[in-house]
Amino acid sequence: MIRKRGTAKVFSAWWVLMIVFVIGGVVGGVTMFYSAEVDVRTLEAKIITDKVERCFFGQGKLNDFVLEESFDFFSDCNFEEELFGDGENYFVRVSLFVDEEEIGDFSYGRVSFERSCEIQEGSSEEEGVTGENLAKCYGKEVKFHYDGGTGTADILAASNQRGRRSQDVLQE
Amino acid sequence: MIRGKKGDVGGDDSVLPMVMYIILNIVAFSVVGLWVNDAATGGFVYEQAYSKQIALLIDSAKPGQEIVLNFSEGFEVAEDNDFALEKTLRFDQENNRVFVQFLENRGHSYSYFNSLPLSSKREGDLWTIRVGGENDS
Repeated sequence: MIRKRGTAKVFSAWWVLMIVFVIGGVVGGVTMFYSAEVDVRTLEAKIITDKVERCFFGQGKLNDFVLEESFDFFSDCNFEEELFGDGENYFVRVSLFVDEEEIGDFSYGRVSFERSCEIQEGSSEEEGVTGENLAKCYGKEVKFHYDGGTGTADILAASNQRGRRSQDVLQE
Repeated sequence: MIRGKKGDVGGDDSVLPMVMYIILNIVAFSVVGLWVNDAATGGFVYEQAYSKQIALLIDSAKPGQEIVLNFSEGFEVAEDNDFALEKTLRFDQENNRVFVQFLENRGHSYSYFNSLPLSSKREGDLWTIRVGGENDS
């Protein structure tokens, strides 16, 4: 009779494979997590609407200069005009109504974002559609006094800025 | 007599292979743990967070407002990488971008849409950004 004892093979190809999978999974997951972009586009759109509201209205009234010929949205409201070109990352629209009559309509930036906002909002007949690459929107309605009456302003803003990792950063 | 038992003749009672196995596992997972810690506390997380936070604060600021930011966490990363603290925050006012950088040849930038001029200065762990000129308030 030959006495035999079983032994476990401690080091094996399966152990190596297991280690590779586990470590690969951890590294992959951590890399994906920490390299993910923080999406602040909706917040940015909200800031645009708030800034527009502060510019257009004061103490519940529409500021007089808004409807004047000389009104320049960018210099009067401190927005950078170059960033609101048609190919850029922002859009803003302000529609002013008094007694359901439109007294002013201002629209700047990439016009196609307005359609993106409509698509995402949907309608009473169909649900809105979301998409990672669609601009993020924010809208608000502001009531104001004007010429003895009450008006309503619809402010809609959109942002699709992602930010950039810079390999070639600002050189002095 | 029992036939058919598997195993080496005489068996192997040595614990050395098991000890080596445990040590190698500890080493492997320690290396991974250190790497995860480095990734979590490394510069690229803070660069993105700071650049976006600063851009949004600038965008929502009124003329004459000062924004004071604590950069202590980012400065730790910069100091670990021998990167000058004065260069951690810079503005490209021509293109309306804010750059945050804690390591050489890398950083994160974000646009801001506020057209007011900006000035900044560092005091200790704080960066102070003034939005608008001296006469704005």
